[in-house]
Formats: sequence, structure tokens, C-alpha cells
Amino acid sequence: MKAKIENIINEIDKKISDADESNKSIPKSAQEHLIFFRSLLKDGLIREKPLPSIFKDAILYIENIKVQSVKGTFFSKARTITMRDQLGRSAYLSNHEAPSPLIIQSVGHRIMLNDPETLEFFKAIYGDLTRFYPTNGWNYTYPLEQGQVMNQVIGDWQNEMIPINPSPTYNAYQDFKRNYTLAGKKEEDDELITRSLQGFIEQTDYLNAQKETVLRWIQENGGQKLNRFITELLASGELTGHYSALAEADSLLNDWSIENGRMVFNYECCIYSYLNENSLLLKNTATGSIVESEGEDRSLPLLFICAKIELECVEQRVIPIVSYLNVSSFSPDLPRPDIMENNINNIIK
Amino acid sequence: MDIPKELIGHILSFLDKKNSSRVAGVNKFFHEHYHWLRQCFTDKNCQLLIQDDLTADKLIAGEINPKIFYQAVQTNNIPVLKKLLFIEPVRRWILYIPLYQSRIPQEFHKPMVPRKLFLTAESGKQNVLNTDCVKQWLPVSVMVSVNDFEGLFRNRYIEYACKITSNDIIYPNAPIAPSISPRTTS
Repeated sequence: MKAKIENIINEIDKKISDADESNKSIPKSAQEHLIFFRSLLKDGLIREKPLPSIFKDAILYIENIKVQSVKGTFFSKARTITMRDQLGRSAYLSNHEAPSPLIIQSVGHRIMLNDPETLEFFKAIYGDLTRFYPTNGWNYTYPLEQGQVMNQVIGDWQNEMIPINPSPTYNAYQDFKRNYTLAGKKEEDDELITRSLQGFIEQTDYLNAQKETVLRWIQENGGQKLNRFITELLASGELTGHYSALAEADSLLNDWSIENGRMVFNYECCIYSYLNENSLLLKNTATGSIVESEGEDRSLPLLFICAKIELECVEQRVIPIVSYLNVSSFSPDLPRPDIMENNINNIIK
Repeated sequence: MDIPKELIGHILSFLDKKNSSRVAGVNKFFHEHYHWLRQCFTDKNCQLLIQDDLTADKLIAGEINPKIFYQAVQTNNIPVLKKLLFIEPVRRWILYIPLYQSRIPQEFHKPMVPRKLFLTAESGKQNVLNTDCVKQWLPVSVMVSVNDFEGLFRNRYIEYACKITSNDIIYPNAPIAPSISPRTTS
């Protein structure tokens, strides 16, 4: 069996080198998938993992590859689904075995790992991955004010996120069932989600009287509502210099866990394109310049956002605090927030 | 400038019966006008509505009858207030926005959820849940429709969905409070 895997690896290696020779023969995203796939198999062999576990990782990986299912037409936008959806729900993950500790999400061109160190070959691969991206962009970490990132958009967002309904709602559960995880683990039904959340909150340092409120808050607001500030940041012109609306974007990581005795939400997303005020679609090119585009093909990553939201509890009020916000732009054309701020201040002066 | 009493008495002595009763009438009118003006400017509920210079100026000039205005506010008479405050179905009104950053933005644009604009900074403090993070209450002058007035008066805020541009923002060095002192002291 091991020999068989080695054969597969050789086969993949050949495909990759072929692809390097004639770049057109195989799409870049497919190349990346192959590189990762090879790495998974090699990693499994080197660590002498039991074979089922290697396959499990590999299948999990395949299931998470996103593919374009429906070509966009004049009336509808192209839709992306995962291979799992494509293969039908009878696929591997449906039989409730504990998922592999390795969580891989592959989104278009970008492949994410929750813990890169678990892959021996990750660093080598990472070099391969980064060569697809322009390196002349920028990276910016927002400064903290009293432990949180604060600006107009985040202040407004926070104010809107604090209230909860007097009667319990479970608005976030649909997102938990879709792609939100608890310490990397995804739950499939309401009861399990509630039980896991309760288990997590029990381990936090909130006062006992507050724990119920924290649970209620997450049940209501702990889903997609949380990342609305990204849309609002774009709309305020913070990241692009003018009003813009999200077009193509993917959440790569939506994970609740505990840090320093508090419930913490880790969020990563990649933005591929946006619409400007005149509803023109703007995308990134391989050289890092932003161009108008009407093509249906998936674009290169443009912005990568990494955020951490901590839940602070004051009396019976849960306050979501953005305690980390980092933005990478793969294009130098986008204004870096602090530089833009300085420019505006200079104009005002 | 204070005109000496003697001089006023001298002028009045030239008036015939008809004209002196007119002066008395005008005097009585102003006495009442200022009495009601005083009521309007000192009453808390009235103050809510006359924060912006537009309404205050109109009250002082007598374009809005201060007595009717005061009584309408006390009885929450919305139809009368609408008539007094809205000559046209839409008018500018100075409302307050919580500003969370030290730099005042060029515009406020929030397409997803309407933004709450508050009647006063005080009503903002009671409604906004993260007041600790508010750096200042920024006045903005926006178009308010007569249909939104009842909500504004009762809740002390409106839900505003339009974009707020730099023309609407009242920057701190621009005068915002009406200067009423020289005209109200009698």
C-alpha cells in the first residue's frame, strides 16, 4: 500500500514539473492543490501514520476544495461550492467520525491551514504558494486603543452588536452548521452546538451570572453578523480609498475558542474583488495593479484580513472587542490605512 | 443701548389716544412674547427641539408663536408641532452622531443598516451602548421629513439611511449654537 502512495506522489510530481514547463497546461489553482496533496501524502508516510489516517486527510482536503459549479450568466453570478457538495452529501465527512486534527481549507488560489506546523512540508510548499502572489503589496496592523481597535466603523458596529433580543434567538446556528467552528470542530445539529458552546463557556472566567448572557449573545450574534464590519470598512473607503462594496470574498477561518478566559472569535477572510461607486468590478492582476474586469474567472487575492474579536462582559452586557486587526494588500494600488489617514490630516491642515 | 426713561416719557407724551393705546398693545404683546420665549428656552422638552439655530431664530423673530409652541410641546401635540416646525415637508435639522475616532471623516456612508442620528448629544448618550468609546458628539445638519418627526420627538433619534457628506457635517470651529442673548434681554 505504501508503495502505491509513493507511486501517486511520483505521478503528482510529474504533473507539477510538467506544469512548470508549460504553465498553460494546468491551472495555477490546480497546481497548488497538487502541491498540497503531495505534501499531505508525504507527510503521512514520513510520520508513519496509519494509512486510513493519510487517506482521511487527503479526502478531507479534496472535499474542501472549492470549485465553480455554475458558470455566471448575465442574470446570475457564478457560484462556488465545495467538492463535498459536488460529490454529494454521502461523502466522507457525513459519517460523523471525528475529523482529522488537521484542518485545511482551500479557497480558490489560497490554501489555509489552521496549524501549518502539523505539515512537515509546509514551509517548502509555502515558497511555492507565495510565488503566485505579487510581493509588492503591504501589510498593516491596526494600533490598539485601550486594548481594542477603534474607529468610526468599528465603533458603530460594536454599538449595534451589543443588544440582544429579550427572547432567545438562534440566528448564528445556521452559520455554525455551515462553516463556523468551535476550536476547529464543526457541529452539525442545534443540540450539539448548544452543548459545545455551553462546555466552552463553562471554562471561561466570566462570572457565573454572566455565562448565560454570553451564551445567548453567541447564539444570536456569533455567526456571520460578526464580520459585517469588514463590509462596512470597505464601504467607508478605509481599505480602498473610496466607497466600495464587497464582490467576491471568502471566509477562510471562522473559529470560536477560549483565550485568556474569554470567548474569542478568530476570523480570516480573503477578498478577491470589489465594486466601486459606479458598480464597476475591480480585480487584482498578477503584477499587483487593480483593473476593471468583467471576466468570470476567479481573480487573484486582493486583500487578506485577519481579525480577532474578544467578548468582554460588563454586568449583563456583552461587548465584542476587536483586539487584533491585520490587513494585507496584494496590490500596492490600495492605500494603506495609516498613510491615507496622514494624507487626509495633511489636507485638512 | 439703553434709552433713558425720561426720553421715552417725553416721546410718549406726544402721542394721541389712538397711538398710545397701540404702544400699550405692542408693549403687552412683547411682554407676553418674551414671557413665552423665556418659557420655551428654559423648558427641557422645548430645548430638545430648539437646539438648532433655525428653530430658535424663528421663535425669536416671532415666525413661530412661542406660546403655541410651548403648549404643543407640553401636551405632546404632534400635529401642531409639525405645522409649526415644518413649513415644507422636508427641512434641515441638526442632529448628533457619535464619533468614535479623533479625525472627522469626509463622509458617513453606511449602506447596510440605517444610522441612528440623535436629537441631542444627551439623548445619544442614553441610547448608545458603548459611550466610553465615543470621542465626541458630532453635529450634522440633515434633511428630516415631516413624517419622521413624530419618531424623532418621541424616541429622540431617527434612523437615517442616506449618505452624510462633508456639506452636512458641522465642523467644530463653525458656530452651531444660536446667539440669542442680545435679542432676548429686554
